[in-house]
Amino acid sequence: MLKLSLLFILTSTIYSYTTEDMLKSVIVGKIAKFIKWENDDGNDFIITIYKSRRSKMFFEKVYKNRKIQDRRVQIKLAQTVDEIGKSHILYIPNIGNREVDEVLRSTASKNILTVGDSKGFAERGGVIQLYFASRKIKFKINYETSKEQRVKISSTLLRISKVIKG
Amino acid sequence: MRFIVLLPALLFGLDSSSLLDESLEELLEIESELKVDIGSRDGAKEISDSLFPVDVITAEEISRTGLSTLPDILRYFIPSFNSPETHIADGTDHVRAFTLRGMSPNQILILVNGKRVHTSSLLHMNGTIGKGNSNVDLEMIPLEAISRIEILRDGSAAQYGSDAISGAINIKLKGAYQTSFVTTSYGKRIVGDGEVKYGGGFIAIPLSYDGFANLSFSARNSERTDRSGFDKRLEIPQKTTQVGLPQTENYTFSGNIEVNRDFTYYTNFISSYRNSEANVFFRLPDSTRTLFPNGFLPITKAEIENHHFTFGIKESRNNLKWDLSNTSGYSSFLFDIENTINFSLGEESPIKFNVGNFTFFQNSTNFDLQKQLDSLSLAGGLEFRHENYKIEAGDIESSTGTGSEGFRGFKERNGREDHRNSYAIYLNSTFKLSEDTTLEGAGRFEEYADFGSTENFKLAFGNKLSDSLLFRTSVSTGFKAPSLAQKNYSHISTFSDTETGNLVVKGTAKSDSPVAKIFREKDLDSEKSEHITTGILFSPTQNLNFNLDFFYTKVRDRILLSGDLLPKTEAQKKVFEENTLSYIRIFTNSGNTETHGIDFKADFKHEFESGSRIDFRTWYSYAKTNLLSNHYSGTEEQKDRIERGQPKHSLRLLGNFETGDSDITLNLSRYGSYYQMIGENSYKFEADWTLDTNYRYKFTEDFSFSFGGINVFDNHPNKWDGLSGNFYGFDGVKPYSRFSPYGYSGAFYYIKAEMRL
Repeated sequence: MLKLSLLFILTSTIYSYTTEDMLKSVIVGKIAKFIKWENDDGNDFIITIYKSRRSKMFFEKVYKNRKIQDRRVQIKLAQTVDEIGKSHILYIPNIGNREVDEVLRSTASKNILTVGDSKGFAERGGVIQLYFASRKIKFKINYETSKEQRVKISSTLLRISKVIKG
Repeated sequence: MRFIVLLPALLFGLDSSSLLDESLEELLEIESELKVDIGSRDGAKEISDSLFPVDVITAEEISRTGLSTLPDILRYFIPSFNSPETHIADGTDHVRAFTLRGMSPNQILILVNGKRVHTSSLLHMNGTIGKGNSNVDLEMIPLEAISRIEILRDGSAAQYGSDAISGAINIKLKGAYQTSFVTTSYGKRIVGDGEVKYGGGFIAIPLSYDGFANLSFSARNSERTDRSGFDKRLEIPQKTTQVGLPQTENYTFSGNIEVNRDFTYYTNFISSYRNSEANVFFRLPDSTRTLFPNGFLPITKAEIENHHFTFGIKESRNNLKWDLSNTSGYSSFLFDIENTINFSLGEESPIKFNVGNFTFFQNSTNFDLQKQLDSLSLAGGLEFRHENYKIEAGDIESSTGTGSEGFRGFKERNGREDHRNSYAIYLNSTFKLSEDTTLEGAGRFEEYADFGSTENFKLAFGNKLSDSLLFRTSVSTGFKAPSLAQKNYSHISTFSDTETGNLVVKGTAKSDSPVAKIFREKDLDSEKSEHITTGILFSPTQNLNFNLDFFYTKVRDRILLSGDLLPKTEAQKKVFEENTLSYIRIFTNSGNTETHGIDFKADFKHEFESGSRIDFRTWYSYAKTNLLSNHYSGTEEQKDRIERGQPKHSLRLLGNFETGDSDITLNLSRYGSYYQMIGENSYKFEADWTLDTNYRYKFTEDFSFSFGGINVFDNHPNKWDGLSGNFYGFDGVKPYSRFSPYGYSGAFYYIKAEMRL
């Protein structure tokens, strides 16, 4: 019986009790494998979190001693648009539509992959929007914006995403 | 190899970095933990982080039941949810009463997308579970519109206001990223009656910026069931009276719309119309009558409408969220009786009467704010509510003399319209003392124009003792405002005393009438409650968790309907004479009750390498209510009904196995014993098991077919043990108790098809 129970546990996939925040922070690193930045200097991989200490905490937990694109990962926090420095990814959590617009305007054409989870994020000009449908994480990609941001998205990622026109 | 990598996460709790070892494709297949809105005002939270016991029923789980009404759905999943199927109970036959954790129907708050839903205008006045109370008509809500049902098993009046004493249920409507579908089902009881024809649909229209316009509809036609015994009053006993579920047609239509621009504009509405037919006892033949000389069975008919409408605007900016909304609710209950006569009118009597109508309107305007600081979330808001209740007299012929047989109509003197306003201010803060420790406090001040003000508080504490073990506890106070129905209901009629033959005038008096005031010094006041809930949530592995929660609720000044009161003092006698009354019943704040219990829940989920999945849930509930005191002539029957009328012990063992295109669901339910009092004696009804099954096959990704049964072994509650009688008794017209928590109509089998569009 014990062996059977153990077998059940061992053969179990991660089926539940994985939070949305966890999944989002992991997936951001995963999609980086499918992105090329035009002005990438090859140094540390920088993820900037906009305004959310809670999200920063999750990212730090996930990427502590881990690498993205075989590079060390730095997690930074920007409390205002002026604090958004050089970054590979700018993660913008659900902060409200008008504020999302402000942040996206300030980062336009800056060779930053903008990732967000607010409703309409991709249509508003974000590059990648994360959303949950039937409790599974999905992407929306604004392909036009990705070109404006000068980030190249692999066809593999585009195939599994919903691509919208800018 | 992959399993070895995952082993630490599976055995020792959640480790997000281990997720990095999953491929992108695998991550996209992971189901995230369920989130709930209920219980706190600082946004949706994972269940494992909730400081309160919260349960969730998902749309997928609902679709695997074959059931087509919300009370049945809640009873299927929640052991402490009780919604008996009554018979010969006047209006209650048409609007099902329900309770949570053995308490009262109006001690549950129902929300749709977090907004209060109006109660039915019907007041349960027959001797059923929930007598003297109103509840939300849950059949108004189309199942197709529901994304999930959140059940909060904790007092939460300090957060949501009146009624949230035994708990609160939030119906979350489907939002963005949905798929349209239509569904239809057909079923009947094993003995051939109780046919149910059902059709429903959900249409999802995506709007720009992830907005949506979702529409849902359903139509349900349910034939009556009959489990009556022989009528021994006849020379040759035969079946005369139908005892079972009513004949109903129920139509619902709902919408949920969200438009995202700079601000988010939202609206949702639910409309339902139902006509329902039941009956009272058969009236014996009388050859001296011109009308119905062979006897007659009066039919009660109800036309029931419910409308719920919310609109609002909200925004999030600089970590500040605000939400301005308005919610209106309307309930009407038009009550007729047919195939009957008013004996006083002789041959001139109509055979169809309108006996009275009830309406209830409620409008709530809310402004909510929430500010997220580093480790502190502050929320608060204002609420203004207006309520209006109206009771209209029936046809004059229905109340003249002895009135319409079966149900005497409401007289002009019973007719009344009343309204009241209330406003509330509330605060809710959540403070993360550390990564593992959370403290939450809530306070609500509320001023009602009629009974005055009330202040309520809640304090909750949660501590993650390890990654897999959460300890949580809360203490709170609460209240339940007297409903306008309780304050204004009156139904006074003339009866012929069966022993003396004299006419007696008796009934229920308005709470502010002179006759009520002569017995009760104070106006009807609110019920006050105190709550303690303590529990643990233990997740030893990622696919297994346990909940164990203890609760204690004390209710003071519980509003109860008195027994028949006789005048004793000279002043009382004088008022009785002035009003030509014989007996009277009144609503009073006369009861003090305490309820305690536990819930134990274990969830296990497993996905095999082949992709097959198994879900298994065990849920045991214990709830015991004691009526500590009851002045103003509480009856033994009332005490027995409150303390023993509902099962104390309940159990659900729910399993689902999904493989390939098939899935099978089994739900084994145990309903504890309960009692019903007739005359001087209380009769026991034994605990019983039922088994529900559902098999579903997906022919394509978009088309599925199901079949199954509810109570497949056709279990029935035992008949009255040792009670023999014409009406109530193992050999009477009503052989079963109407308190039966799983009904008495027996096995129901169905087929169902669903197609995505």
